[in-house]
Amino acid sequence: MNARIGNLEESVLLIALYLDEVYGVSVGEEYTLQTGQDISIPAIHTVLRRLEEKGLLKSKMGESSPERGGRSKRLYDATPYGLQVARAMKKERITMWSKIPALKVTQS
Amino acid sequence: MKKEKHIKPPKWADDFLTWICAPRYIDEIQGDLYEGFHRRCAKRGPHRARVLFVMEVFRSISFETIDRSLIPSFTSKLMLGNYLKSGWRNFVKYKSYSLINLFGLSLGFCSALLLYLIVRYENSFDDFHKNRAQVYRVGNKFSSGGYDDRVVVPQVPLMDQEYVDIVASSRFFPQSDIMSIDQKFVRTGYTFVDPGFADIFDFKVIHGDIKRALSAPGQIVLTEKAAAGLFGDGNPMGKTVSLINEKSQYVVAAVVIDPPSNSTIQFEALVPWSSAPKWLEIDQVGNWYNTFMEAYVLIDPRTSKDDLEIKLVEFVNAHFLEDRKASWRVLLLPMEDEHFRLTGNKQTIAILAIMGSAILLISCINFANLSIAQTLRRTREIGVRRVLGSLKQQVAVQFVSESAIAFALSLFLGFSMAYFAIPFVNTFYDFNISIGLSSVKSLLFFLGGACLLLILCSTFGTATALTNVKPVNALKGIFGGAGRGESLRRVLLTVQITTSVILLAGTIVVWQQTDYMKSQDLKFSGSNVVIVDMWSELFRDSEKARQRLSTIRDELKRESAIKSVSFTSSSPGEYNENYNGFQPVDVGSSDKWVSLRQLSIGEGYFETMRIPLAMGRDFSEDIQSDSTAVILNETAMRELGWNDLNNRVLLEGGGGNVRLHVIGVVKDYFYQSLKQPIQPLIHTYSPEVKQRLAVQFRPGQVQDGLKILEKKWQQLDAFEAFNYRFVDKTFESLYKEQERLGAASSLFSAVAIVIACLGLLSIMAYSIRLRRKEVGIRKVLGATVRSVMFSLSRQYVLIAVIGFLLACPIVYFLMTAFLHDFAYRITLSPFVFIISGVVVFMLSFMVVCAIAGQAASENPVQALKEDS
Repeated sequence: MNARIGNLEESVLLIALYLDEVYGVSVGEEYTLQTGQDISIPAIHTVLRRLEEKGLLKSKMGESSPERGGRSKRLYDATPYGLQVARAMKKERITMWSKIPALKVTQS
Repeated sequence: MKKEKHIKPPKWADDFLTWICAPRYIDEIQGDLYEGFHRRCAKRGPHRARVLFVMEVFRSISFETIDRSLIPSFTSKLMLGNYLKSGWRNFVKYKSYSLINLFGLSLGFCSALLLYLIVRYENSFDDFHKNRAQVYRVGNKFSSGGYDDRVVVPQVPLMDQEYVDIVASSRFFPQSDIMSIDQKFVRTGYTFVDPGFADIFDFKVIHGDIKRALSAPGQIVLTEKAAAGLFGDGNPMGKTVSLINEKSQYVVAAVVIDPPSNSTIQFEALVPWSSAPKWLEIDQVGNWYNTFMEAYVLIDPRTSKDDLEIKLVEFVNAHFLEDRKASWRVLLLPMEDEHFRLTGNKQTIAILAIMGSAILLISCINFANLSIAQTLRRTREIGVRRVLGSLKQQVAVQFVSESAIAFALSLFLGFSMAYFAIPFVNTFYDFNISIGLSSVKSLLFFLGGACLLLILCSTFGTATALTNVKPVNALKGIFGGAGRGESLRRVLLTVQITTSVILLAGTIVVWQQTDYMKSQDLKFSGSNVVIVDMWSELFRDSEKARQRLSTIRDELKRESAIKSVSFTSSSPGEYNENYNGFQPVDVGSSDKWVSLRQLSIGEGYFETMRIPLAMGRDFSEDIQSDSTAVILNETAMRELGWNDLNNRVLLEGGGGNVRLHVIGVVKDYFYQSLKQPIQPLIHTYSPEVKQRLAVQFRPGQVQDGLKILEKKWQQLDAFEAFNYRFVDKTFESLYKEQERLGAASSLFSAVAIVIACLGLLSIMAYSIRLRRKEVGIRKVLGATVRSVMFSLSRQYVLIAVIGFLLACPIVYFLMTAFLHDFAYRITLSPFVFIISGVVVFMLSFMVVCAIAGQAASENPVQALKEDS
């Protein structure tokens, strides 16, 4: 029913759903905090742009600050479709988890 | 905190980003990168933040974030078609120049690529061993200078036991026997090794565990090839193989891949040392004397070769023979250099590498030269384009992309040529090179380098030309920039001539040296002499065959086609390093020990090899006492300080108290490669020696003689068919490596010279075309063809002379370094310089004259009518 998205895309989409101010730097930091992995800002930009293209996010220009050399932020926000995709994904995962026998789970 | 505010990201990267980034994305990207930079400054320090900033700037550049307005010409499809069209028309209009250019560059690429592959192959020797950097071959260094790569049998196992720095060690002792399984007999080489072999070297295992296989006696490790020879397609694991001559049986415990062609260590089968015969055990008498063993060690990465060598002085003092203690030191020979040490062609490889770069350089120069020339020729087109509104960048893009297309085309051609040439190169020069998937990575590197060099050259050329052309002048047909392009071209031409002379001279020297070594008087004569292997394991019934052999020898002696016959353990060119310490029994010098290479021979050896005696007499079967007689060579006599044969007696190290009487001295003859001087040699006599049969035929009766030999061979009931080899050919094959590299370098230097001449040809042709009018005017005013030719060719002749003069010192320096390694070497003669200078000069002179002559003899009216 909906767009297939990759692992990194999924993480960024989820972060975009709960973070207040969604833009390159903030998403990058949240990602590092949650996964423990470093990620570059351009990599986040690419993902954000791709998600916007797929219609899962939308963006508008935000305010600027001296720290940013007077450049304004591009702030992203999840679209209803984005939320729907995330939900579908969660359901999918839960369904799959429910099929794993208990024995296997405890073993590993 | 205050300080941090002033820290700014690197300005150049920031400016670059501002320049390249599309306005739509600049706020987001630059703003976020700034913010990230400041946060990282606080967290990880300014230095790290700067590095990350630069990296992120470059990672931010993608197809969608680039400012499209920066690349107007790429987006204009309409113009692209026009560029292609005018490029093609230009190509067709000046067909010969364009084809020369294309062909020259393809040839250059092809040769450079082949040379690159050859150099890489030679450098890849033994690099598949994981621990190669810590692997050393063990040898001995003598205080008299010189070294040897063999050791005594017990040395390495003891070193391994006593020194923790040695992680693993293995001796390596190749033997050969007939292996049999189910009535199938195959002659197979096998090698005794220690269990440490598995730790030192990494030969890929197919079945079983090589380490375990080498740890217990009675087991054997086969290579794929040996296994296929014995078992065909069947599974060899756990089967029993019999060695006919050894009279022993081994269980196949592992199968490994065949040692690749770029492995120094070659074997067909491995047998653990614990199965070795008794005389190889470390407690055998004589084992601290006899020096013939190949051995390798793996040392701890935390220690260095030099440190270990110093520590091993102690070892020498504790274990070595008294007379060796002071003058011998343990030497570790790095495995990384082993291939070059054995083949001695490190310099030749370096020469080939230089040659490859030189060819690439020459062809790139050609290409750049012609690009400049072509651009200048098209000033009018440039003028029209500029007047009609093209930007300078657009014109530049047009020309650069034109040369890029030509470049890509010749790259493709060059690759295809190389691809088809590789099988020939491999068979002809006995290499094993390929353009395979595994080499893609380094190929890309190679390509990237070539691309960059070329694009830089041609862009530079085009840009130089362009800046000199004003649209108005261009339309008028005035070549404003000709002068400037000209001087650059002259420099490039000089470089080409210099390089050609160097390559040619280098090739001549390599050939001369090889030829010199081949044509040296070897002090014996191997022509008309064949060697036939007579190892007892070659025969089904070795006892009977041995007895037959003596009779056969006597029968052969009576044949009219055969002049002389002798048994020997070895022959010149096949000598295996093997030496021992000998003590002269003189009054007063009882402590002196001399190490001598030893060779065991039968009666008539010197006669068969035509080695003259300097003193005394040859061995004789009829004299009983000759079993303890020896014959020395002149070098050995010098070493011992003897000059007569008055009761000269030697004691052999580890040989008990047997007194060896010196009954004769032979003139020095070469039995090893001429890379090293003749070593002192002792010949011992034994009627039992029957490993090889040496037969000298009478001149012109070789074929008859061989037929007789074959008939005799068939009487012996051998496993194999009759096989023979000529001694002179065998000796020459010692220079195979040298020769094939010489052949390769002469081929490639010819290619380089052809390319350089092509370049000269096209440049001359072009610049003389520019001066057509001038020539016309001169001729109308009364100049002769000769004087016009002179004025046209003067500067090119000068360039050739300057190029030659520049090359001389470089040649001298390079070739002195190359020759330094040979014990018997040619002296660098002025002949080399003169010949290479004359050849290059004549070739370029011919090109210049042909073109100048053509231009000078043209009808001046034709030239003056033309309006450009």
